[in-house]
Amino acid sequence: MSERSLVKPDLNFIRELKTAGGDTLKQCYQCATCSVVCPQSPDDRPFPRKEMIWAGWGMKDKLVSDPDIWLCHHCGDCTSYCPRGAKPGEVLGAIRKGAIEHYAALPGLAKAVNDRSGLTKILAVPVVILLVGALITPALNRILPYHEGAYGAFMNTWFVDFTFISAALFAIWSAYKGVTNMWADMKANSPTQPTGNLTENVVAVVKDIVPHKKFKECDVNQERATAHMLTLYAFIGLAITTTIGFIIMYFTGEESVVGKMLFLMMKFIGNVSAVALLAGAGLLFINRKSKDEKSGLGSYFDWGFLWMVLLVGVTGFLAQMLRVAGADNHNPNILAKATYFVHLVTVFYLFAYAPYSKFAHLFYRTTGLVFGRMTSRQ
Amino acid sequence: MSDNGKTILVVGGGISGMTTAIEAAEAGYKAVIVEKNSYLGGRVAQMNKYFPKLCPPYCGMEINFRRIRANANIRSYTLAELESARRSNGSYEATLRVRPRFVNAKCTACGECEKVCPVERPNEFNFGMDKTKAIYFPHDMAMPARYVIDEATCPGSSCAKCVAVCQYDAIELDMQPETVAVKADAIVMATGWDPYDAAKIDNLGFGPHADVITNVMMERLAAGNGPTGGKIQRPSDGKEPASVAFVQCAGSRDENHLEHCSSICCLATFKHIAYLHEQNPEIQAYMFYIDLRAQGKYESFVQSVSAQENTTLIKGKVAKIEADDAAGQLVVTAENAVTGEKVHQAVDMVVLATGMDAAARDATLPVSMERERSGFLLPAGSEGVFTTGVAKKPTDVASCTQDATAAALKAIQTIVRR
Repeated sequence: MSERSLVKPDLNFIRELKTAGGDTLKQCYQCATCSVVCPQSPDDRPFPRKEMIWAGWGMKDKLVSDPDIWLCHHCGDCTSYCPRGAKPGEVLGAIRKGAIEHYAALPGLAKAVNDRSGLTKILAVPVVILLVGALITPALNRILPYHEGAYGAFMNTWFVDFTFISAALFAIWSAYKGVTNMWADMKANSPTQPTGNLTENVVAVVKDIVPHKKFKECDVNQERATAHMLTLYAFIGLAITTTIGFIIMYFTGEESVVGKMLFLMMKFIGNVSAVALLAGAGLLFINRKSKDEKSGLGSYFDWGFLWMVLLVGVTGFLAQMLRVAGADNHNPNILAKATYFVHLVTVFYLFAYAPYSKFAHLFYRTTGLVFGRMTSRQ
Repeated sequence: MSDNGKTILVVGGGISGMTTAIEAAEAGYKAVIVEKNSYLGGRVAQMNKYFPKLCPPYCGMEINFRRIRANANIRSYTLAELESARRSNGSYEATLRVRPRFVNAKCTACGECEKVCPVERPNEFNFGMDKTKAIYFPHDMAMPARYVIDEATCPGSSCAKCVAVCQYDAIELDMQPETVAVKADAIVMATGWDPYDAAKIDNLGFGPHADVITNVMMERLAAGNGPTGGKIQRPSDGKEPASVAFVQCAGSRDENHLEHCSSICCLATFKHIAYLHEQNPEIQAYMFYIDLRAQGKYESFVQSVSAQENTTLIKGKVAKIEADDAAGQLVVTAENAVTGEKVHQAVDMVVLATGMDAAARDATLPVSMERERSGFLLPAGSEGVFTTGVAKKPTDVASCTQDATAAALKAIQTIVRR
């Protein structure tokens, strides 16, 4: 801290932070109450006081490569004790958005995903792909396998899998690129270098994430940790469901004994996960809604993502219900098809844009926590 | 002294109110002081020493008391409040409500009554750090120099032990509240301040930890007429602290508490460090601050205190105070914003530098008067009504007396120009 450095304010970044929920950042008068009341902040170079002054000065390079922004779990203790209403918790949320956009493999896509004005464009991509899919399904169904009980007659199953595996590969490439770039910057800007075995540290961090160990250290907002945990488990459950579906479709078939057992398992895990997703995301939604102005209301970055998660849950559940409730299970009615279509569009959004939307915290937070662990910051 | 028949009513008998009344009276006006306590002198009477000369307030107070006594133009009511003030024919018809003192002017302050009184009450003059009897002498230099009975604690005529022992017939247990009518040509509000209630700051441990005290309590601890006879010691065990942390801006410049800066708390802490080192130069003093604020000429105190031995100034606000029960100490936590490291300082005692809260913040005022958002009164209200001293803004004693003199002049001008 004592070395001399010339501050080159990135005014644009300050403006971006202000529009992303950090509009109060200039209120900060550096008393450091936040660093003390934060239950996550380490003794050595604690946060978020230093982030607040970096943000005020527009020091983007320092902020986006700062592992501490990912150690923050947005408890809100700092915001509620802040004597100036500077809302450090909200400012750090805005900085995380800035970091996600900065490390995005395709920065333009990140901007479009996280700005309301880009919504039409980014939804148009899956809408067009899936419309084409629906149009060519009758032709595809003659030459490729499809699943009758899963809207296969409406949207060829192979086509769906192909689309979503491509989306997933795109997401993995994007996330890898972002995470490795961030890691390099964190190493370059950190006064201490990471030590220890990477794999062991990743395992240790995942072991903390699964039970939300750090999240639960929050004094304020305990219920948010529970809601978030429910949502995370739901996503894990849905990933398992999808994998089982994949195995049934391409390996066992539904008729064999193993296939039948797997089918029951898939339905059970899938439905439990769907309920968990609705409950978790619903609780997160209510929690965010009930926050008063003083503790910060979040921005489109938060709300857009949360709405999308809720939509995935609602449409997924409804698509199943409408299909089962319909007269012909293998030929769903137009309402069921429409619901299924919306479901696919929203799932595409979550999948393909994961490293660009708020979902990216899954990758970046994990990376930040690993870096923090390997530099003894937690 | 001549009397021109015009009256200035002063609400509040602290240093500002007394000064306004004295200055106006010495210029030939009648002055009426309305004081809600049982004594004149207000918050200054509770100080051990005051700025800028660091002398005990009693020397300055005594001069004022003598000027009041010597001046037939000044009338003062203690245990009194201004109930209403109605504008009529260019002046105010004011009504004062005077609570019973239960002790009349025959009292010689011999103290026999106190000896036989069987009940005790917390002594608010010492912020509850000791007790008085239900019949008590407000403080050593109290003016008027008369005992007073705390109505809430005294069992009344069923006890009456004090009445039996008083040889001057000074105690009247059946004394009733009175209303007094005053015709006032101008009114000066000198309602002063209250220390901010530290119990409202839930992260600083005032209440749960006995050795977390406030700056005003520190004044009483250091004062020779205080609860410890002037020895600074820990409330929990009476030991002299080997180390003391001072927490600046405790509930000040904080939108959750007092939004304003009281402008005197940094200086008060410098003074307190001086008290500590007068008692024992080896006591370690740690002052945690956001910014050091010493106005004008007081800047020199910053230099002299920061150069003192056993004094450490740390830039960073304390936001957590926890007890280390094993060590019998308190641990204060702050981030040193200069080094960027968290400090966990173990100390024997913590002093919260709480700010000045406008005493009239929530009061229903008998005159039309605007308030700032912080609760302090604007300099002037409806015609012929002025504000002075800390009622207007937090400041030090010297500024108050200057401002109070100016307020007397403003009141006089409004009468003369009429």
